[in-house]
Amino acid sequence: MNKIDDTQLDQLLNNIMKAPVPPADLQQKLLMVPALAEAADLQATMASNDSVWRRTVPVAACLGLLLLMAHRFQPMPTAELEAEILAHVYAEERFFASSDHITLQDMNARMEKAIHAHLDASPATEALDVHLAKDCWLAQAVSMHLILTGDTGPVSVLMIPADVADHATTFADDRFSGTITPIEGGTLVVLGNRQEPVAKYLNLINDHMQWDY
Amino acid sequence: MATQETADNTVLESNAARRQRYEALVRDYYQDIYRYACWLTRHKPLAEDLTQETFMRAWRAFSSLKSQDSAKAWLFTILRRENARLYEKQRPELDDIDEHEMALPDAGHLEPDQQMEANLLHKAILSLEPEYRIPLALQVIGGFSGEEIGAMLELNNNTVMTRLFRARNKLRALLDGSNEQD
Repeated sequence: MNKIDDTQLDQLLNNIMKAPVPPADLQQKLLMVPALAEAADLQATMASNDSVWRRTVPVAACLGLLLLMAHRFQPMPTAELEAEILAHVYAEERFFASSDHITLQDMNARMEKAIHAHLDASPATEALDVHLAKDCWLAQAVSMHLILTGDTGPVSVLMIPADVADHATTFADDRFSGTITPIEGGTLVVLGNRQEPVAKYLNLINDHMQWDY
Repeated sequence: MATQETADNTVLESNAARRQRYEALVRDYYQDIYRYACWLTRHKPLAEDLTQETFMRAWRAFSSLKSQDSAKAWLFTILRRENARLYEKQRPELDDIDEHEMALPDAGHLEPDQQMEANLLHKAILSLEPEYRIPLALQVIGGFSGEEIGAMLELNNNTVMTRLFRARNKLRALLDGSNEQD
């Protein structure tokens, strides 16, 4: 081997020091930190020198079980939920222009991973023109955000695996209008331009959505 | 009534915005934070715990982050302080590094010579004293300048630059020494 120069050394350092790859589930754990922090606040007396995850998992698990027993989350105030949904959709607006097409198979793989649910294969679901399928933190739950091509523009479908609404409601601002609908296993939100017939997407998704439990 | 509703909506929107800013922070920086934790602790399970502690602390102190531009340095500083608070006192710098635990991932695209050189450098970085390894990690992983590293480590710029220079010289000497033996 020859002696290495400064550029080669910098290149090697860059490759080696950036080599560690985070565990696959680390990002998801970090996204749950706000919820875990709330849970941890309830258990302030627990050991302070243990890891966040080990310290809060028992609390989170108990909370999760209680929430499941209570048929998932308590409903949120409607205004709070609507504000959070609109803020989320505006924050994700940059994805509206995406020209990606996500297949039903790919979308289902992402849904299974994020919320343990999928859409049945059918001509109607196969025909959905999906640009985005990503997990997101919404209504204190890891949820799924789909962006579809609608009749008048992009349509956001938000699948929240928690009962955060106790009744169906419609809402709107100057630009968007949408529906929040309690469904078996969670809550379905469909939001599009004010002229968009969102009900047809609501019905289509609701008819084909299957939870894994 | 209307005023109260407006005030409530403002609070709700700001909570949602806060959570979204936090999520953006995780997505943008968690990989670099984890890498820095790996080089700080030289132990991957500990690095994972430390990364979680860092983001937990960041979430609790989120209101103290005044600008997104300073978010990266803010997170790296939290990590170093959390490491000092939680681990350094109970777990002094290890003499024996678990080399399997911190092994360099396979790089199939490298020639055998290059792979050997990479492995050698990897071990050499792990064996650097913290006073050299930490500024080097901040520079290489975080992309921070000497002044920024100085602010984070509470050192003056000259000291940082000297340590970075010496760190590289130590590594180069190890590599060159090995090359001469070949």
